[in-house]
Amino acid sequence: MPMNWRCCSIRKAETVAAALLLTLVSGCVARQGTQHQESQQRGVDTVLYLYAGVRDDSSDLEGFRRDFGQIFETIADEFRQINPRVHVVVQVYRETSLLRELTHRNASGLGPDLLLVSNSTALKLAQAGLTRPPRLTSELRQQFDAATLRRASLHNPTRLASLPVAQKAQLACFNTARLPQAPATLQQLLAISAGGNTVGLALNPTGLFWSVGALGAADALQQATARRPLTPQQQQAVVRWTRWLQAAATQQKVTFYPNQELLLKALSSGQLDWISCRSTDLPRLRRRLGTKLGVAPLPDGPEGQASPINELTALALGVNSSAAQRRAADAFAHFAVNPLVQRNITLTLKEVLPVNRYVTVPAESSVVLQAMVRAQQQSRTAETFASLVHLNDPRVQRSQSLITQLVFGESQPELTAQRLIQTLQRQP
Amino acid sequence: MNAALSELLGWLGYLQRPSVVLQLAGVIGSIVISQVLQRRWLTGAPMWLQGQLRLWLASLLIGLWAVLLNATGQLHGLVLFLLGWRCGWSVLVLIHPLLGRVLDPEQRYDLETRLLRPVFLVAGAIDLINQLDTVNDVAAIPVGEAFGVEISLGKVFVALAISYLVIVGSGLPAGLLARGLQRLLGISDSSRKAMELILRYAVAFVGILAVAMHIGINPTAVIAIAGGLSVGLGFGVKEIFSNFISGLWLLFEGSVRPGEVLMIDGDPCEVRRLGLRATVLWRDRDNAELLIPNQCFFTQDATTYTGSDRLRRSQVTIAAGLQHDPASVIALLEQTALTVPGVLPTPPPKALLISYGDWAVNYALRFWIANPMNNISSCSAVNQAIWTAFKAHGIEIPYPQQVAYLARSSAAAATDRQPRRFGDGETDQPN
Repeated sequence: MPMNWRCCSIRKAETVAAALLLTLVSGCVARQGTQHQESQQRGVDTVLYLYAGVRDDSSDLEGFRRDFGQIFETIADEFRQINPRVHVVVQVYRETSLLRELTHRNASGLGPDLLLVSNSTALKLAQAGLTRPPRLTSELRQQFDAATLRRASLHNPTRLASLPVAQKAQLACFNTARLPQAPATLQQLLAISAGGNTVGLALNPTGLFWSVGALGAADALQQATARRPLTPQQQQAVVRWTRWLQAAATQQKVTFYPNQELLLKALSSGQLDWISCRSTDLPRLRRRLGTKLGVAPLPDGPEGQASPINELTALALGVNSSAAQRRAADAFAHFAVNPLVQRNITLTLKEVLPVNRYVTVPAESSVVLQAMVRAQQQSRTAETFASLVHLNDPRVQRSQSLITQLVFGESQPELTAQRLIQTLQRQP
Repeated sequence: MNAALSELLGWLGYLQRPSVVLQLAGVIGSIVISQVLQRRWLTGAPMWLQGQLRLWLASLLIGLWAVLLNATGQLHGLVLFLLGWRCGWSVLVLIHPLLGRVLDPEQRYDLETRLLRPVFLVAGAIDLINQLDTVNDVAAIPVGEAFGVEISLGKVFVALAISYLVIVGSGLPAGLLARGLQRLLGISDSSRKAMELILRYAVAFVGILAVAMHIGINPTAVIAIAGGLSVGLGFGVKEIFSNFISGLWLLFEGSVRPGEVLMIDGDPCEVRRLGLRATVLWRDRDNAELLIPNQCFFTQDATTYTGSDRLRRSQVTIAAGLQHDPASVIALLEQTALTVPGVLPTPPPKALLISYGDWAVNYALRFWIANPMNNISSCSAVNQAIWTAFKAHGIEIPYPQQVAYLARSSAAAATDRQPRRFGDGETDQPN
């Protein structure tokens, strides 16, 4: 009978599979039982699973793997010098899929031990109970400044959702073949576009927030985000910013893009001469533009300095780890924020800024580092907004919709400013 | 390859987690228990029950393990995954008889072994990788370099999968297209089959070329390699290549196509498949399948009954008594042939007087049949019909006999001119 034949073949296959798995598992169970003693005595190799989150709009996963590999190897190589029996297995995921993946994998016990993700994602995962809070000793707490701790915490700064390890600076990237000097002010930015240079701006509020400070509206929008009432002057400052956006939108050579990926592609392909970018985008842009890539701080304005939001990259801790994996993951996270490692990452890669407040960056050694340090100073203007509004905040989506209507001429600056304030003042 | 091995070994790290070990131990335990139960306690059970239990007992025990883990607040996602996989396989076994209702055995065999089971196993493997890792990460593992292009594990898998699917899966669309063209152009069945085969070769060729392009292999490099390969073909695999080219040539020429009937060693054989290396023919006489290298049809003579049409002229020979009028016998033979199913009325059957034998007149009846493979059975039917007709009309089918006359005087001989058979009365002596 064909059915019997099939059943026999299944049975044989199952028996072989069961025997193999039994051998493997029994060995591992035996290992598990004596793991603590062994690890003390002769050291057992511990495997750490690290999930790396890639930005959702990024289409260059290969590039991300290569660039991320560089950052990661810098930390992991040094970590393995003092923990030679720890092996780290890296898996790359899109940040939007992480909530679903973790929900699924944690239920199987196959979740990660560590996650290297954006601060927004780390907060979202912690809120869903998919990660565990890092052990924050007073000594460790002192390594961070108060603003960084606020941004990485869910409710109060004593309970972090994850451990920040790096800052991605928001900068100006431009094509030096077409634009020898980056504009230093917003007026210059519009002037170069009037002169024929193409300029790309982001439509999303976090990508565009750098221009708010330059027009003196940073305090106003941060007040609104904190759900506080605005003075008439502050409301006027917001209108000033929306008017500037409208003026920029009417320029023939200024184009607004819905996400960062499109901006990067447009600069790489020569469609744009100037864009706002992240410091972690620099390796990718360098691959395409080579020496033509120019990097500068974002332009200041008549009412103040630029207010870029420097995204935090954080290490979150998984919930499925064994005791040994948990210890190794904690050690890895603490190691990643120690001043020496932070300095090494910054100087070796020149892509991220340190989060450890005791690390000073020798900006004189590189134009990129100078720009990044300047971005760090500028970002203080936006600290409140950065700590209150995260990428997955629904207010971000609503604000983007309002800005889109404004730049496409569907709404007037005054009305947009009023609605924007109302949107930010709402409970997220 | 080191990277792939390293990735594979990295997955074993999950076994450092008690929750994973607990889940796996339960699944393995369930499989072992189901085996023991089947061998020791279920041998006396009815066959249908044994069949069902073989399929579902392990799944049932794994399911119970999942329920137990859930009830005790333990992680059990991995158990559910393995349960799903096991149930999927059982469903695949269950649909086997259902497929038998709609497909013939050969089609079912092809569908199951070439498509359903491989797809299930590959999908299961991918799903398992997705449980332990990400398919994208595994696909990005480099495995080497070819023609200056870095080849990753993903590219190798995609290349193999697409090539396999193109070769295996092109059958149905090519068949449908060929049928459509047959209706439009009014071509014969054998031409349709030839067209189907040519379409499959074309799709496979384009598919493999597309795979090479997808991987990023430079077409110039492929051409250069093909040039080098042609020298190798001249020496190494000459016979295989010769057979392949012969097969293609025969298809285009139309002399040997699936459905054609050829005479092989005196037997009519129907062409079943024209493969890459050999042609498969079916011999009706003993239901044998003959595998003949394609190039044989190039170098040897062949007789076909299906070159310009599928008609075959058959012939039976029959002897009738000398006393019967040949004209009436011929008319009867032709009339009888027309009554036999399978004998075509046009061209009409034709009976001929072939010769006068020692004891009978020999006739031949020639008639036409539509299927050349039915020659033997048609001849048998016609022979039977002739026997019946001759009996009905009193026509003798004589057996061998000889008339002997004694050498007497002419007067005695005149009075005694009666035929005598061997054994009757006096013994005849041959002259």
